[in-house]
Amino acid sequence: MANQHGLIAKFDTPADIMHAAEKVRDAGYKNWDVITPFPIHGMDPAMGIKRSLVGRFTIVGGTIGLTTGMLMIWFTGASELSLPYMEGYKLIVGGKPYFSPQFAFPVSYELTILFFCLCFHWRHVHFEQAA
Amino acid sequence: MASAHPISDEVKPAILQEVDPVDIPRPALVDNNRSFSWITDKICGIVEEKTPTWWWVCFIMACATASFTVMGLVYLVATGTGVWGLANPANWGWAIVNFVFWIGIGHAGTLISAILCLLRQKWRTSINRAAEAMTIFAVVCAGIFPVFHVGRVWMAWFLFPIPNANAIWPNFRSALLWDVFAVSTYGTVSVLFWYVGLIPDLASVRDRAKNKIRQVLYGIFAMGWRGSNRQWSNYEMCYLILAGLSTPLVLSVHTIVSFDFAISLLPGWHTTIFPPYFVAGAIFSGFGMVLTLMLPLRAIYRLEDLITQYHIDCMTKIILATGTMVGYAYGMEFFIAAYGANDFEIFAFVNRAFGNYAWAYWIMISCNVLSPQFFWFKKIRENTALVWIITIFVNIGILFERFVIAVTTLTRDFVPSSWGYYSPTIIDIFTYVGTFGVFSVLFLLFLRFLPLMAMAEIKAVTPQADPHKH
Repeated sequence: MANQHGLIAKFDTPADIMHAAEKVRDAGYKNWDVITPFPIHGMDPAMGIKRSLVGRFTIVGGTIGLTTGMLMIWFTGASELSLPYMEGYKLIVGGKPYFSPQFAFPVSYELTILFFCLCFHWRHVHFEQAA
Repeated sequence: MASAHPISDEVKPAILQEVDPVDIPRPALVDNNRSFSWITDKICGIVEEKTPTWWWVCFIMACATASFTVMGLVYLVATGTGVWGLANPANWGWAIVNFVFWIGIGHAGTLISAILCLLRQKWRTSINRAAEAMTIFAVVCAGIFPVFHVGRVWMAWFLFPIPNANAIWPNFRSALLWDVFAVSTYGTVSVLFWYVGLIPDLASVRDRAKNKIRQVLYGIFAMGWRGSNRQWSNYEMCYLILAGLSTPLVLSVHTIVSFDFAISLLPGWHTTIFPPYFVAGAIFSGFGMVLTLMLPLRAIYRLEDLITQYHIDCMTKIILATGTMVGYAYGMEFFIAAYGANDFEIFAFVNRAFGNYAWAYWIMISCNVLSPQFFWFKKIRENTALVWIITIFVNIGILFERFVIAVTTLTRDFVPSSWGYYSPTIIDIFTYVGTFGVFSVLFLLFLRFLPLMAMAEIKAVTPQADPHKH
């Protein structure tokens, strides 16, 4: 047992592996993991794992999406500002206001959802949770 | 949840002294009590076995059909949009009808994956992978039409807010532009959702791989998945968030597609019922297409234990419900037109039923409203051949519905001197029929190379997976 690097144990039922995980958690081990072919309900508290951080990235992404949408629509259609390589142009559509949150909403809403997904997917690629 | 929590004696209501409640078993989601390894072998077996002959036959036929679209589009771009039947007054014809048809079909996949997940309908697990694949391929087929209908396809990048030398930006007040963002977002999110769900199953195929190439290729796409609970924890959160985001996405995308019509002023189009009516129609047609695809697969691959009669029952009942909602919408349109005493609106609907497209209207009514009513009857729901035939009628019906909505209003709107008649040309027809080939090619490739069911999810909903059972 002198050069033991680790231990692996195999279980036959989800209940067995969950009770075993609780024991390992209570014994204070840090570098361990549970491997299952499907997620077992209740395994996260049994291992003492905290909630995933994926949600936080998502919210940030969504906010960026909404802001980007509204800003883009305002800049392109309601301003005559000049940025490098691009210039706004006040597009006249039936004499209506150049910008209004109502007509800008569908595109901004879709960009919100798109950025939600892209931002968390970026985080999600790094699956590992810190112990 | 098979076992009820035992109630302690102090809080038991008095009625329980007299009555002994029985635990009603929920229908089994996997018949014959199959084990986890049976599920893995069954699904991975389809990917691992030699390609069956029927697959090659179907694939060749699908490629031949898809070539119609390729030829049709090449001819269109080379010659001009005059080769289609679009002309005054019907400047929107089969192109937009096909677009809305395919996008609608895609919505069922997202509904099954996302909305049924939030509603905790565990039966979704055996159909969600194939349904999501169907969504992505349907969006591909749908996207062909907005891109190519512009005529000068090399200028199609103008649809996006990309800087150019003349400060020409898209008109963000236009529903057609909202469509661009909605469908792009929908396509991206659907692919991400599908791919995230695939990762554990790709890892299963990788781990069973017998040769190096297979191991490496599936391994790349499995992104190092080990099945560790730390990974599952993140995965589950991602899945839930994606489900939560895809739900408003399904509703908003087809709403925005309905806005193509509803934000105009034309009679028959300018009604607030369009968003829910289109969404219900999309779900209706999408479930029809899911069954059209899954019932033959179930028979060919002998998947009766995984797609049980309960699954078929649930899907047919959803088709029945949404078909009835669509029928209600048809009735409401007439009622509101009559009640609103708007002559143009009344005429628009009377024209639909009795004008020169009446043949299309009554095909629509019989396929969308009447044919799903057969699903009230258990004998019919249990006869898979009949269910399949009815789902074909559902698909036909929704196509005619899109056609009736778009074309009847355009050909007979406010001023009779502007009236006309629209017919598709042979190019229109070939391009549309070819999209079924494009869809089939993609779907057959999916069947051949990717696990067609969500193995991990199916295992998770079997009773053996419940850690509290023992």
